[in-house]
Amino acid sequence: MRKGSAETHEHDLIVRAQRGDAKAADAFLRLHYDNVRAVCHRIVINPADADDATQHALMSIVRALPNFDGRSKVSTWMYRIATNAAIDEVRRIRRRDVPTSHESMNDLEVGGGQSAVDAQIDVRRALETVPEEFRVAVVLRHVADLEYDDIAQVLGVPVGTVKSRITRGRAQLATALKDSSDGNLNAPPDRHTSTREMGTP
Amino acid sequence: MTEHHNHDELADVRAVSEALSRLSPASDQVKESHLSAALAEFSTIPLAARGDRRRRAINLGIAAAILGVGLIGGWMAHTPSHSPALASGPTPSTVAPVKGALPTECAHAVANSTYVGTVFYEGAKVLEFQAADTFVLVRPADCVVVSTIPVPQS
Repeated sequence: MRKGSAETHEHDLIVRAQRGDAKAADAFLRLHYDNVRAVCHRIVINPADADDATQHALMSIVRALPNFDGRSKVSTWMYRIATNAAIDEVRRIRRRDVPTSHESMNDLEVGGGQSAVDAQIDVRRALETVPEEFRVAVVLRHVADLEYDDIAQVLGVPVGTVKSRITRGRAQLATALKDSSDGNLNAPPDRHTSTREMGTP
Repeated sequence: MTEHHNHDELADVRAVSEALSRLSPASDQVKESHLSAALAEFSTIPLAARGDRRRRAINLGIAAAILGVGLIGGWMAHTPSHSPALASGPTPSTVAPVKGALPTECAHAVANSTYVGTVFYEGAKVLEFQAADTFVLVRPADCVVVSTIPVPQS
């Protein structure tokens, strides 16, 4: 489906959902489920918490449906909600202060063999080394595929800040990915939980 | 130097895009659980269709209030200035004391009422309202009688 007609289709689903059409709401959520989930998983990192964030994001999208007025792109509107849900979840985790990363990484569901699981663990460990504000910008660019000005809208920061965060976050992530695949990435410095994971009480 | 920098950045873009795309899909069970919870939420939220109905009801209520005020104005214009009724208006005793009677002291919009009834002013029906309608109640001093059943006026 071309981008224009895809947006028309999305708008149509939203309008029908706003009139109370549950099937349209279901179709809209299914259409974006994978992307919303991907954004949540890449921002939150811990799979179980990311699933919680995904649920919160979907609920928030549904609650916000009546207020969507079409002034912003559907994708911008939706990713703003998903990003906020994911960031909220990250903050909840911080308040909870429980180990999340390495322990939960060992609980990864296996799909595609051990090497695929290892690769996912590498990505998550690498993501953990990137500060949240950089990570969110990189995720919105590379996972949500948003343009710079859309990301600026989602995050409420100037486009220049978005570009800077993406460039720096991407460079850090690329380095961390390389280190991770080389076996040099042992501990995530950006996580508040990392001290416990490193053996500190 | 710039070429080298650009090459590095391009390599970063590729590495990051490739790495971030590695995410196992959600299991059907998790996905359906998420979607059904969201749809359950959907069934509880106020949507446009319901919103339109509420807006219509509010408009109806406002119209009734305006009509009530107009009637009061007309009544006051024809009431001698020394009349005690000017100060107090008709007494609220005309409100039917029925179970679940609406709070007549309320002067603001009431949403999603469970009441069904009729508003009278001096024996004339001003407004009928239905359960779940939104309407404006006017204080007894404003001379509009609200009840849950039609009230014959003496």
